[in-house]
Amino acid sequence: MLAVMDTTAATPVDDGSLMLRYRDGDRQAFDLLYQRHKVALYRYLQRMCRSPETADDLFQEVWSRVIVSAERYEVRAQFKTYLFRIAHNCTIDYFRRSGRQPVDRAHDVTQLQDALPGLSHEQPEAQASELQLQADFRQALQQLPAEQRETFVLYEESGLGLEEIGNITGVGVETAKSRLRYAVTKLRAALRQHQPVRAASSVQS
Amino acid sequence: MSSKSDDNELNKGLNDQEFNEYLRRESEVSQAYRELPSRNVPSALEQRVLHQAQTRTTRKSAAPRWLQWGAPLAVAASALLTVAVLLRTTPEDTTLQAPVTLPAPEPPAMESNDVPLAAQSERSLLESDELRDAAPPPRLNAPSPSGPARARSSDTAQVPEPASPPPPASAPRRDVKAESPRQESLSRSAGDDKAKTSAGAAQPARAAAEEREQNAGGESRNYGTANAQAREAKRAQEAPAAEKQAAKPVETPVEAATNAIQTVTRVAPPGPPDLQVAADRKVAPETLLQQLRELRAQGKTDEAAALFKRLRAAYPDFAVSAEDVPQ
Repeated sequence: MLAVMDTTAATPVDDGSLMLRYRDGDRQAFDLLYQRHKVALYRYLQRMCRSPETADDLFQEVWSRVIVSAERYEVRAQFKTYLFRIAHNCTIDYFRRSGRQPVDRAHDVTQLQDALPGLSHEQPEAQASELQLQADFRQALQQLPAEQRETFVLYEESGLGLEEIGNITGVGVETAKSRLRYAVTKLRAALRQHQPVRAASSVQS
Repeated sequence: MSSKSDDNELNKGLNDQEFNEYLRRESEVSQAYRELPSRNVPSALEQRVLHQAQTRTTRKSAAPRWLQWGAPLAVAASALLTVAVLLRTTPEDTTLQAPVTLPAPEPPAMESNDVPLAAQSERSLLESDELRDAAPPPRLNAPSPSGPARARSSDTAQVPEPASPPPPASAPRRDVKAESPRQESLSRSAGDDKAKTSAGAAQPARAAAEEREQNAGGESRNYGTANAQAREAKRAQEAPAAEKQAAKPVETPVEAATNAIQTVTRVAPPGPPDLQVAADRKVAPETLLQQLRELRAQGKTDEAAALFKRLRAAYPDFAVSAEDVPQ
């Protein structure tokens, strides 16, 4: 842990410095980088791919490219931008190879119920409506055009701004902003369908 | 058209305030997205990624550190070698023609002594007649103590070497081989040095040198006596200069040698003599000597003298017996 902390200010070392340390052979720096970004990257790939297996393969491929290209790494932008651009390229390459569109199938409510932790059987109606809400939201997300979905997921997962997202996806800021706006509008519309139910369930609770 | 109207309706449904609220990640859309279930990264997948990262760092550290500097070191070594070669060859080029183009007169003070450089320097410094008398008789065709190195230095006439240690007492002091021009220059400068020690002593020194030359006898008269005529002609020209130099402050032997080399380099006339020397060097010295003897047998003394000069210029360290030296 000492290897990745600034000893003078005791502040976390930024991602670029960690990557440079890893380039110079510091394995701990890579571990910290990985811990910082693995969840966001994995969720991004999950939202973009049809199957968990594909997401796993792409996850490993992205990190493999990061490792291999570490020798030539230079700090030109945020590491997150670098990482998600690699992820974007890997996703595009994968769908080109497979000849499929990056459209996922909507999971049914049963799958979601199995995945959700902490659900009790005390309020079955509220739970059902909550699950239905998530299923509808998820379906709305998967039905978004790939560009809009990617822009939305990148904005949510990476925490990057519209300019960086435009850099990752290869479009301008305004285009990225427009895509995001469309995506948010559709998802918001999907949520609006469940608002009376959510309000009722909140009153009951 | 219908999709465009849908887009307009969608955009109308999300005003700027709501969109800005979303951009601040405070909207219900962001909250709903975060509530979506998500898998964690499988541990096996994590292990594969981390193992790959570990492998890369291990491979990097396994490479010898000196290999990382291999390429820069090779470049630096090449550059250093190139510079060294250039520095070593360039001065030689400037002085290469010096020894062979000079008429190479010997100074009066040293003209009877055909000894190696070290012994000559010692003698010029000590001026010990006893040492000279105790020396063994001159050996014809005796190898030079310094051998090839001396021949090389006489060919190239490089910057004077530091004074070599004096030869042992048993070493032959009188080598019949002619001195190289560089050595002659040193001897001349040493002689000049001695002459400068006493102002106005140029003439007595010259007279003493002539006396020593006569004492040395015919057997030691080779190259120096061969150029006696040329020296006599030059003496008339050099006398004022010698007297002029005698008034100058006394130089150390090293300074004198350096000045001599500079003088040789400065006054060395380039041109046809070099070509003649180069041509003569293609002929064996024994052949030239044979031609010299034939010319003398035919009574062509002038031509024999000229050939001897060429022989001496081409092979300054070639040993010639006193009989073959033209009078």
